[in-house]
Amino acid sequence: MWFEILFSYPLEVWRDGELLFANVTDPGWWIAACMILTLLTFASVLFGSRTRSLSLGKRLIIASAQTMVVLGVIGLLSNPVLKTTTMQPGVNTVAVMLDTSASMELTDAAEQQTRLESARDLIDSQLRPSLSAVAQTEMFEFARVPVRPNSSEPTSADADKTHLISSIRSVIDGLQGTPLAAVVVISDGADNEHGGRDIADLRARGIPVHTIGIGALHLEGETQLTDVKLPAEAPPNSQVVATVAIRHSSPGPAVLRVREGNRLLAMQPLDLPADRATVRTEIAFDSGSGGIRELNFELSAPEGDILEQNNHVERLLTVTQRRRSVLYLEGEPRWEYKFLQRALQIDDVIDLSLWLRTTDRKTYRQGPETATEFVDGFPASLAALFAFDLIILGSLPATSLTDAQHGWLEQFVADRGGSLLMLAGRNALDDGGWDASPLAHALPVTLDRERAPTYQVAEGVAVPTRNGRSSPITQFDVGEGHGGWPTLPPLADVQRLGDLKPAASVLLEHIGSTGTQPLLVTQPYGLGTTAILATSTTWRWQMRTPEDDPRHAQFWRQLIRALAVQAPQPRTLALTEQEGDIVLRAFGRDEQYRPISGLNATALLTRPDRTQSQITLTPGSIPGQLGARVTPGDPGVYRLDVTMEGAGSIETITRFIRTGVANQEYFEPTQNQALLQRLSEATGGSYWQPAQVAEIANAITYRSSGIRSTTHLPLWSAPVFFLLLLVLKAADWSLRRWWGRI
Amino acid sequence: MHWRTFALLLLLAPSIGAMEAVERTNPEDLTRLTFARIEYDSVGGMGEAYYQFEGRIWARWETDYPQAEHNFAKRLQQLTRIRASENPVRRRFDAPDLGDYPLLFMSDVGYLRFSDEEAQALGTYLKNGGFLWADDFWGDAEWSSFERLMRAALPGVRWREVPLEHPIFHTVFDMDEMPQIPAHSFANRVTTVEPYWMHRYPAGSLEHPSMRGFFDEQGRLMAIGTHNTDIADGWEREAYGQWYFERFSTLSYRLGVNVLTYVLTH
Repeated sequence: MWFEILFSYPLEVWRDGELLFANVTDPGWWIAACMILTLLTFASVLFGSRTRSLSLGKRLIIASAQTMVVLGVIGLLSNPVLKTTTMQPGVNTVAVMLDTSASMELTDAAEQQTRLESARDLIDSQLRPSLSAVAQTEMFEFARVPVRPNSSEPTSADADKTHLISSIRSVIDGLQGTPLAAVVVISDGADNEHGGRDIADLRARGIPVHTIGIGALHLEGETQLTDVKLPAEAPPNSQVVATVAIRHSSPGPAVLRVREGNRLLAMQPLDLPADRATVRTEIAFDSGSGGIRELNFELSAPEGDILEQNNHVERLLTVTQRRRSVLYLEGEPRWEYKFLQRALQIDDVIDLSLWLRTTDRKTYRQGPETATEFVDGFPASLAALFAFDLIILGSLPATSLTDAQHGWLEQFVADRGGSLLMLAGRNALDDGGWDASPLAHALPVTLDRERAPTYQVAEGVAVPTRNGRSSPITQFDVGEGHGGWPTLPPLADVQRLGDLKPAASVLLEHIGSTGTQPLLVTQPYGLGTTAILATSTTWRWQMRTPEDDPRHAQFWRQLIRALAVQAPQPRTLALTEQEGDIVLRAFGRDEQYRPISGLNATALLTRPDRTQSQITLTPGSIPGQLGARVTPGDPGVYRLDVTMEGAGSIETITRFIRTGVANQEYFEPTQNQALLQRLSEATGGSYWQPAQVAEIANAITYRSSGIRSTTHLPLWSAPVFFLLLLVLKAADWSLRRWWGRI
Repeated sequence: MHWRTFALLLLLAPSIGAMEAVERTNPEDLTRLTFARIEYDSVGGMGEAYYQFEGRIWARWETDYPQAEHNFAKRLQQLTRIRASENPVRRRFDAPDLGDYPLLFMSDVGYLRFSDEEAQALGTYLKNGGFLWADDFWGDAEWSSFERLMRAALPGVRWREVPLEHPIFHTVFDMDEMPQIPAHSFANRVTTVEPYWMHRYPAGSLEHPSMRGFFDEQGRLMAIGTHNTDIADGWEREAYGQWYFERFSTLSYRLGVNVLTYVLTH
């Protein structure tokens, strides 16, 4: 406002206009005259009798001030003007678009009205009157699509999605043939469609979009579930871990629940801290039986939460019967295997194969037909080894395997992405000479045979660490009366482990007569995972507890499943919803887990209304990967059956995805100022606060599309120039008086 | 306690004390396979609950103990990669630490007497995954004695004969017969059947040695009875002559190794 008072015109005019001097017909003579006058002024001050006694520096200052006054006067006499184009009043149209999506029904703190009511008041009292003076206005309301408002029945804010960009584009396209000067959008910036991806497309239409931001930039007391991450699939009756992100502005107790319908699957009390705005937590629950599960994550927020609608998130979980193969290599018959295999016998996902050295020359094999692929107890080929998801190494000397087999085990973890678990024993880890194996690089602790013997007969209890308390491996979901870790019988042995590697995570510690030491350690390595359980007497948890105590079996099932399920399958399919589209990524590997070149994949898309269509996936930049992008129609559950063909085999993977979350409007309920600013700046418009609405008409006058005319705006009367001359002259006079020359 | 039992316990006290000196009742090393001999009461008096042999009086539960386990543990370490403790322990069914021994061994169970608490403790032990091997009982009456215990411990669980095709006969050594091992004192080159008058009346036929198994709902073997045979005597008496060793002890060890390997893997 001050700019316009001082400079007579808005900043936009100065920024876009061209400065001209209307009285200057011959610039050469005009410049020459200016230079002569400048020289004369300088000379009169430097060599004049009244200033001769002053120092040269003081004379130069006075000369400069007087010269600038002279040049200023010459400039004004030259009649300066700004050449600009302005909108022709009365012939252009300005489209005014009001966001009527559900988020506009919110009432921000310290406000009496909803955002929509505030916006309507703003339009009626200020925006339309001021725009009417310069253009005709066309009113639109939009959420998913723009509509002309029904004056007799105001639209309520119940649309569950905002398609901001496409709505603006639709209005601009719909007004083709009309001299559209600008679009004014009144919105809180909530956009559930493309996240601003198509702003460039909008810019190409050449219509300035002015945005008026409605809604608070910060909501005190607001808590919301911002994200829930789940694995794509899970085996039946296993522990699934969801990673949940919660954003809050006020601390306090909260409770996170997972439900399927009315059935409570898990509950976790939380304490939202004051020093962090975002909390990430994990919650484990049982995957249940096979099929698709519709899960609801609910947050009971601390008192004072403004919006309840953003405290629940729906997710789909595909529970598959895909079986996982585990190979247990053991160097001595011992109790740990007996009870481990009994724990897994009731597991309908894990296929456990045993290779056990019973005597120096004999082995005993147990498990599925895979045993026929063994030679001397070890898988006969890399492909046969890679068919397993998890390898368990018991008390087996490293010398039991050839160099090649050691290399295969390292590749199994690093390249195939398999999991490897080492158990304690007299021939395990350091004591078994595994420090010389390539596998030593993959393990979460350092090995050194010089430290042997590290295997100790010592009683101690297993205690979960902080990581262990939140890990699905070491959480017990047991009935009342069994307790958790504290009431488990003590272990009878422990293996002293070397130094933890940087990526190692300790889930359990052994506390006993030998002090406290890591008991269960895991770490990622390459594409896979390694783990060490530094005991072989967990069988006591089964034998020294009541017969209905499930903890031993539960621990082993969780540990084995968690490790086995992590291992990727040769064919994988990922479905994500990105900017409103369903994005498919299929990946195919051969038996040795090398990407398949020449992989073909087609998808059968089944929509919520049961109509189907065929989609061909196209190769991406990554070898072995194919992808496709599908724009869904109505919100709901979409099924995709993706058939991949390559490397001599065909496999079909089925996945489900839900699109169009019903309460999406209520997430991120603060004003999305960044998007509105980006939108207006990219299209040549401006972002405005509600208090600045009166200035929009002026801005549109000088910066708009539509029918325009060229105007020369006189500048000689701009107050700023007179003020400048006054200041210069006052400075000249004051200095001369100070230096005693007046 | 019956007065006869009390008197005999007094009589046996010195020999029991001598055994305590060689066994570890509370082994610290549970990482090894430790044989746990079940100490039980028997019905009757001398010749029933007790018997005299080689200059001392034995309770029925003591038969072959601890030499059989001691020898077997040594052979296990020579023949296999099983790490076994050479020091067996003895426990009653209701011992609080029974779960530390996933394998229990009983011998000479023909005159068995047990309390409800002991039967219940055995049932819990077996359901938890523990394994019971009963040996050296001959004839129908002695089988009934053992079967009564098992019925009380695992109501509703029936026994069935374990066929030779079962993996328990093939884990390490392929066996094509269920060996009949007589006690060393009855071993001869004519027959392997012990005299019927040495066993509880009515004995019925003692001819056919068998392994009888008790299976849980999942078909897992929880307990076996090696009937009409004395496998543990083959271990205990291995040094009582080359003929007995070669003729019987080797069979006892083969079966023992197979059973233990099976128990350790199922």
